[in-house]
Amino acid sequence: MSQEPRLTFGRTLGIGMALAAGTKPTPPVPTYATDVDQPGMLLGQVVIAILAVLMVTGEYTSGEIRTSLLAVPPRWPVAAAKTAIAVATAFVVTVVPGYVVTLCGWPLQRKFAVDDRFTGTGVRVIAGAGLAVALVACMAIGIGMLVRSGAASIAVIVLVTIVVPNILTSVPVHWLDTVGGYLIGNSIQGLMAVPAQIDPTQGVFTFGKALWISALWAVVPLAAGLAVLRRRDA
Amino acid sequence: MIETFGLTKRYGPVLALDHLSMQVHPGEVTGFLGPNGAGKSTTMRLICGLDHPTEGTALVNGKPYAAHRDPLHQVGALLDAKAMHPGRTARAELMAIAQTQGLGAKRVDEVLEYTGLASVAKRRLGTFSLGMGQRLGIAAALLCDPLTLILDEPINGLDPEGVIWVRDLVKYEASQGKTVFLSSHLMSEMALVADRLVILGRGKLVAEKTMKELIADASDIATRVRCAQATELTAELAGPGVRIDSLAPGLFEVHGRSAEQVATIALDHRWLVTELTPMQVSLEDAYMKLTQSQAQYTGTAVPTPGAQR
Amino acid sequence: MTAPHQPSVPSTRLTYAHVLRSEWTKFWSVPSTWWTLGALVVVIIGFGLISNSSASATAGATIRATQPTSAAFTVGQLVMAILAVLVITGEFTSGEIKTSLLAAPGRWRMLAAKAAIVAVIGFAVTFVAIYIAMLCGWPMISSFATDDRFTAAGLRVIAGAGLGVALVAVMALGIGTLVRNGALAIGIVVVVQFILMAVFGGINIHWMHVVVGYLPAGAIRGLSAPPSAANAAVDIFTFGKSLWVSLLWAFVPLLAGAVVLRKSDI
Repeated sequence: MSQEPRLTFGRTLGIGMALAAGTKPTPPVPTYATDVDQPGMLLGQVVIAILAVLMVTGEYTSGEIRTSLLAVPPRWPVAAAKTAIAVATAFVVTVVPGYVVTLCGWPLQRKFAVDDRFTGTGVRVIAGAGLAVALVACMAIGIGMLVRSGAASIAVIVLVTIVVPNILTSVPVHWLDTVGGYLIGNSIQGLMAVPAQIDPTQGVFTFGKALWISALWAVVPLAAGLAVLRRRDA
Repeated sequence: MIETFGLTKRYGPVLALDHLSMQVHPGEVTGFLGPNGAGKSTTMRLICGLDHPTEGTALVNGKPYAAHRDPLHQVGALLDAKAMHPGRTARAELMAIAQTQGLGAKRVDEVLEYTGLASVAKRRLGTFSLGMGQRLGIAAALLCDPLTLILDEPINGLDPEGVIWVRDLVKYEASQGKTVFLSSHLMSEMALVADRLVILGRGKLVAEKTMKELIADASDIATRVRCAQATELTAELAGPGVRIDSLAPGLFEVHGRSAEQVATIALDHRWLVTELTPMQVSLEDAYMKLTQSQAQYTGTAVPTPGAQR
Repeated sequence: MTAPHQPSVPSTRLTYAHVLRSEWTKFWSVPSTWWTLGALVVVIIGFGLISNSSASATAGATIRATQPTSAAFTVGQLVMAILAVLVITGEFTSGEIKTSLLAAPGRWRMLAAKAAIVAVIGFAVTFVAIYIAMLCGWPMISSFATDDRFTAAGLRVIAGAGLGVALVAVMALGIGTLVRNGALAIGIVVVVQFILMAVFGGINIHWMHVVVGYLPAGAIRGLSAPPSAANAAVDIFTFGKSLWVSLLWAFVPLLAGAVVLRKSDI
C-alpha cells in the first residue's frame, strides 16, 4: 500500500508537466494556470480506483475478509476505515501534484494564461479535482464491496467513468449527450472546471450541480456495498 | 523413484532448503515429516517443477519433472487442494486436466466414481467443503494412473471413511510397485501407513530411516508387567541400568529388561505373570526426540488440566 | 468410496494440441467468459444500431454499410481485453495456475494455447456481432449509404476490426501474465488504450500526434479502415503497417510474459 501512492504522485506530476508544456491557447477561451490536465486526471482516477478496489477485493481473494469481519462484528467500521483511507489518499495525491504542476508549469504558460494560482477560484479548481478523485475512490470502494472481484470491479468502474463517456461523445445523438453528462466521468468535470469552462449545455455543470450528481454516484454504490457487506456471508 | 541431489532453495534471505539429498523408492510408502517451516512443501514443489531450485536438482524416474513427455503419468501430485477455479464444476476441472495428456470423459468419470465424487461432479468448486476439495485433489492426482504419488497432507479435512480410504489407497499403490511420497502431521496415521521416513528440520535432512529403525533407535528396552508377586519380581529384576516404575499394586514397568528376560526370571521362581507387554515408543515420541531442537515455531507449554496456575 | 483396484489408463502424452483442448474446456467452463462475451455482443450490436439510427442523409454515400462504429470497436477491444486478462489472472488468483503448470510444466504451451483461443474467439465474436449489427442496421441507412455489405472490401473492413480486437486481446493476455493481478492488468490496458491516446492526442505538438498512430489503439484503426488520403492525414496507417505495429504490441508483452512465467516460482 505504501508503494503505490508514490507512483501515482510521480506519474500525475510527470504527465501534468508534459501537458502544461504543450498547452496552447485556443481563443476565445483563455487558459487558466490551474486548468487541470485531463489525461493526468484520468490516469489519477484509474490508479486510485485500482488501489481502492484492491483494498477491498484483496481481502476477499486472500480470505482475510473473514478475519476482518470476525474482529469487527458490526462490519461497517471496516468499510468506513477503508473509505477514509482511500478518500484521504485520493485527495492528497491529486491536489499536491496538481498544485506543484501549476506552480512549475507557470513559467511556460505565463504568456497566454490567466494567473489564478493563488486566487480563491484557482484553489477551488484544484481542490475540486481532489474532491472529484476522492468521490471516484468512494464509488470504487462501494463497487468493490458489491462485486467482490478485483477485475470485475475495475471493469465496471472503467466502463462507467471513461469508456462510456468517451463513446457517448463520439455518437452524435443529442439525448445521449445529455445523458452522458450525468455519468460520473463527466459530472466531475464541473468540480474542477475553471469558470470559463462551465457550460451546462456541453455537460460541464456548475460546481453545486456537479457536486450533488457526483456525490450520488459515490454514495449510492458505497451504501449498497455496505448493506451487502453486512448481510452477506463473508 | 524420486531423487534429489543437493537440492537448495533460497527465498530472498531465507534458506528454505539446505542441500537436501535423498531418495524415495518405489514399492514402499515413504513418509515425509518435519516441523512447520522445515521445507517439506518447498521440497515437493521443487520436485514437481513449480519452483526452481537455487542449487541442486530433483529427478523423477530419472529426469527432471518438466522434461517428461507425460508428466502427469510420471507423477500424480496433491500439493494444494484448493488450487482450482471456484467457478468451474468438478467434472470440468478434471476434464481439463485429463485433456492435457490426451485423456477424456471415460477416465474422468472412472476417477470421480473411484473417489466418491460422482454425485457432486456437476457442482461448482466454490461450493465444495474442505474434505470434498481434498478428494478432488486426490482424484486429479490419480487421473493419469501415475507411477509416483506425491501427496502433501492428503487427509487434511477428510472424514474417517476418507482417512481409511487414503490409507488403503496409498498402501495399495505402493504394493503395486508405485513410489508413494506423502507428508502429514498426523503421527498416528503416519505410523500406520509409512514404511520409511524422511525427516526434515530447518531445511536440512535430519533422518532417513525405515519405520522400524526409527522406533527402535528411539526406544529403550522396556516391559510392562503385571504379576501377583510383583514385589519379589521387581527385587529380582533390579540391577545396574535398570529402572522400575510402579504403576499400581501388582503393575509395573521395567526399563532395561526385555519381556523375555522378565518371563524367564518369573518362570524360574514359579511366579504368575498375568500381563507381559514389550513397550515401544510411539512414532510421535520418536519424532519429537529427533526434532525437538529443529522446531522453528514452538508454542509456550500449556499447563496440564488440574495443575495450579 | 469403492475398493482400491482401478483400471489403468491408455498411454498419455503431453502435446500442444492436447493443451489447446484443455484450455478450450477451461475457457468455456467459467461463468465470466459467458458474461464478457455476452457483453461484447450486446455492445457491438447496440452501438452499431445506435450509430446507424443517428446517421444522417447529409453525409451521403461516404457512409458505408460496413463502417464499424468506432464506439463499438473501442468498447469491443476493451471487453475482449478484460476477458483475456481474466483468462490468465483468474488462474493466479484462484491458485489454478499450480494445477495447470503441473499438467503442462513447460509453461509456454499453456500461454500459447490461451493466446490462440483468446485471439480466435475475439476475432470470431467481433466479426459475427458486427455483421449482425450491420445487417440489422442496414434498413436505417439503406436510402443513402453505400452498400458494401457483401463486397470483398466490405468484408475486409469487418475482418480488420475482428483482427484488431484479437490483437488487443493477445496484448492484454501478455500484460495479465506479467502483472498477475486482474484489477491492475485491466488498469494498465485502460491506460494504454485510452489515457495514453488522450495524452498524446491532446497535446498540440505534431510528433505527439504521430505517436498516437503507433499506440496499439491507434495502429489497429488502420486494420479496419479502407485506405484513403484522408486517413493518412490523421495518422491512420495502411493495412500492412497497421498490421506489423499491432502484431508487435500484441506479441511483445506476450513473449515477455512467457519468459517471466518460465523463470519464476509459482
